[in-house]
Amino acid sequence: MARRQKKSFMPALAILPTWLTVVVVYIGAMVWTLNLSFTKSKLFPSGAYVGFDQYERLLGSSKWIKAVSNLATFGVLYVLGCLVIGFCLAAALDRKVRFENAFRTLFLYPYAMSFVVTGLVWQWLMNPVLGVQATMQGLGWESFSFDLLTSRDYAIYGVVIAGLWQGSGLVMVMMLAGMRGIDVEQWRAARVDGIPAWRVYVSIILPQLGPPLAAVATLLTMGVIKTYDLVIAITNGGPGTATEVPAKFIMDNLFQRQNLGLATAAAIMLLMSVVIIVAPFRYASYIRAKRKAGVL
Amino acid sequence: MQTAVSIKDLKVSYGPTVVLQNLNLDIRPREFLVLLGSSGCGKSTLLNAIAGLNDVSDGEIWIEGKNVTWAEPKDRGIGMVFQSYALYPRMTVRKNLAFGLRVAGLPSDEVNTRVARAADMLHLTPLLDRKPAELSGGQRQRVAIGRALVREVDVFLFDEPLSNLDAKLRNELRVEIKKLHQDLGNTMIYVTHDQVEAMTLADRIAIMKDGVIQQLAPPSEIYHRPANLFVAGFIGAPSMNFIEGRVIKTDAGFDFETGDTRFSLDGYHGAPVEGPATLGFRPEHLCLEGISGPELNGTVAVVEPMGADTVVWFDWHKQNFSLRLMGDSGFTPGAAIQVGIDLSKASLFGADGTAL
Amino acid sequence: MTRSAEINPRGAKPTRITAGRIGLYAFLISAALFFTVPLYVMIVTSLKTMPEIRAARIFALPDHLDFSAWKVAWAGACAGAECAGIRAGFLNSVLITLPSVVISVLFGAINGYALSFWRPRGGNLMFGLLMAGALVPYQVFLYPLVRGFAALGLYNSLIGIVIVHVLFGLPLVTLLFRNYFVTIPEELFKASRLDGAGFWRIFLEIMLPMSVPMLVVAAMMQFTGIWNDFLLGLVFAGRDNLPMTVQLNNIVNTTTGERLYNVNMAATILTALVPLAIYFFSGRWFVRGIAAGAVKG
Repeated sequence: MARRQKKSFMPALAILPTWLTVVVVYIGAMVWTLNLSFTKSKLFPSGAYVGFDQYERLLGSSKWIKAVSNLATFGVLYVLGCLVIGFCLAAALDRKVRFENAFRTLFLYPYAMSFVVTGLVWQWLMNPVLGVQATMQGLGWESFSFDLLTSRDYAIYGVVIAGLWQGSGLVMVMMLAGMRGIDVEQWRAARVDGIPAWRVYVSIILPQLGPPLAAVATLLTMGVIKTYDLVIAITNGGPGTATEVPAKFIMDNLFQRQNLGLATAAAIMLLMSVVIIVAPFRYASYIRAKRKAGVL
Repeated sequence: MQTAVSIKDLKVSYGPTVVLQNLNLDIRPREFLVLLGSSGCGKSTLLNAIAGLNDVSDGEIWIEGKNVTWAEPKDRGIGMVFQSYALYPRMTVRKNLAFGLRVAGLPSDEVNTRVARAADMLHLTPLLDRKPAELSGGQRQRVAIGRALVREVDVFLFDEPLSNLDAKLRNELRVEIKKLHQDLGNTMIYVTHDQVEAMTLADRIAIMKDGVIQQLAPPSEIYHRPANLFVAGFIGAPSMNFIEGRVIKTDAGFDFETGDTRFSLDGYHGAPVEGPATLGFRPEHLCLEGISGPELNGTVAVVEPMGADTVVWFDWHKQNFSLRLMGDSGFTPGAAIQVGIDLSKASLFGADGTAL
Repeated sequence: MTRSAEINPRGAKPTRITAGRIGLYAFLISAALFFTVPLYVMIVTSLKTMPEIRAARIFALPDHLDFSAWKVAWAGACAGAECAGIRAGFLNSVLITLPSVVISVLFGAINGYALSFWRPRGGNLMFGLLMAGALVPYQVFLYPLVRGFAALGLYNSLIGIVIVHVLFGLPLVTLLFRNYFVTIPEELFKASRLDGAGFWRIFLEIMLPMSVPMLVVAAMMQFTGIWNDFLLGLVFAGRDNLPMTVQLNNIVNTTTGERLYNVNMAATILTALVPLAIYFFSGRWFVRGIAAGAVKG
């Protein structure tokens, strides 16, 4: 009996540090932040509770609204763009092409690089005076325009392009793995049926890639919500507030504007958006697992 | 038009490995032809070549009087049923059946009629709105057949369609496929490694080994008159008994000699030739009573009762033989046994393995 | 069909290059250009002199190879008032990344092992909370962590930033190892217990040697992740320990007169060099890591 108890004690001890991390850092810090968001803290935490005042202030802040709408524009274009480009690249590589490995390596390498690097490269490419635009115009293509980043209206699309460059490869890898897992006899059946290849991808393959598609879409969306470094490097939020994003808004109010209450309220809002996006996926997979367990 | 499918001098190779070479095969209209062989014998390669799913290196393939060697699978007038069924998992049964027709641009009422007819024939009508995952193995198999059926073609290709099913279902569907063939009267080419399927379904069986057709004949001929040692050993369970020896010409006819035993080949149906030979006889072609031909005096080693019949394994001259008896046997291991070979049903193979 | 009356098809179908095939390769090649041109531009720009750059021919090869921008980027470029190049940042990144990777992978492996084989009470709850925590934006944790670290005297220190990376690295590494150990047959674990081996002995002598592939994948994922981090380094590392990414951004944003694009690009390449090297030399492992990590979504 004594030995048994000793055995069951070591595993619990082994995961104790992680338990502490979860409770103190994850839960503790979250509760603290939540608490702060209901106070009128400025530079230092304050004990004066103001209810939802900070949230009201937040929703009244044009900068926050702009940051959220930028994030929505960026998020939709980035996630959809990555999915479409990634799927097309995967389908193309799936067609028994030569140099498949070389192509795959080239499509994915940007994913290995930091957002700062990505941002700086594209900032340089989109430099209106010395970058691609000037080069093309110098070559005689006078109307060529590629100075998205200096325009208040288009700068966010510049950020999207940089994001697509970095993120599409991830989708490509995941989709290609999914495609290679599909029964080859389906391809043969489709050939006997006379289904053109593009139609097979759209009507037969794509519907079967639901799970990896959902996984990679969640992954990309999480990345969108956390978007910070990319914007800092490529535009630093400008011009004006053209590429302001919530994560940057929070950082500014936290460390530069000494607006602790507002920053924490914004952080909680960001967290809520994650919950809203992830919860349905989680719930669906939970239900699916339950149903599976029920059937078995 | 004499043939439904005709293969002329077919050669298929993957890189340097030649899988099929100089293969010729004519399949008659409305014939049920089974390609039988163990894995790697080239039977699936041949089927895929007929379907147009494999590239051929040489030769011609004709279907219904048309040279389809270069034609796309969809233009060959074939329907195919796959081993894994290859149903499109995210489509309902109805969509699975209709998809190929819709892509081909058939008017929708034509599509609906054909789907309804196929579903009716295969008893799939109540299942039309289900997804493949919600079907049993046998139902999926029927949908796969239905997908070939709606194409309304003359030639059906089956690639080991029953090998993913359990034994009981396999027996049931085997009967259904046979009935389907009788009702439709299509030409069917059926690949399998299961000799029971081959024997029960086929009008003719083509037994393949190393990319070569060893014998092409109706099942009973394959069983009773195997063309060579390979066919003789491949078909039948337990397999045919063999005795190696030599044929000796005598005044009266021919004798067979093995070790210090020698007996006359009187009653053998073929034309023996002097020289080394192998005598083959099936377990049920040995008799305990009314022995007229050669006699084997052995010792019982193992008795396997199977219900309807019993297989008795016995040793004779340090070799193992099997004997099939109807019902139960009274033998116990160690007992002495005396059996005679029914030479009229035996086979004799020459030095090169072909039947004499 | 009419043609078959004239020519009798026989043998291999003549291979014709179809329009679809051409379109496919055209698509792949233009995609490859989209992905490689930025890297190419980065490299050629870093090898040019400023007069060449001012000529605004961004795609042109340099007139002659000029590595002076690299030298400046490495040892002389200014970040704020300090002009010591990106060298210090490189060293800081190494000092931050190595211990963070080792510690987080070790803890993740222990967690995964304990959770999949020993199933301590509450283990599933902890794992669930850990996975949920991985989804929370860092901004939610930042202020409390800053205050907590300040109280412990770890704020703006090397130890502090290493701890932060370990804390936030745990979910991914634990997930990788848990999913890996689940695939190892439990009989193996039971057999070693019957042989009398205890918690640590089974871990060190049986499970760890079996999980070398996962160790490599996890270490690589963590390495690139931590090396590429910007936010945590910016907040927690402190002036003396700023990682390369933060240093790079500071260098690029420091202008004294003209912007030195060649130096900026050289510094950018230097920052990307380590993860790129990992990626190009072990692409397959890298892909495995992404696939394994993405499953959590």
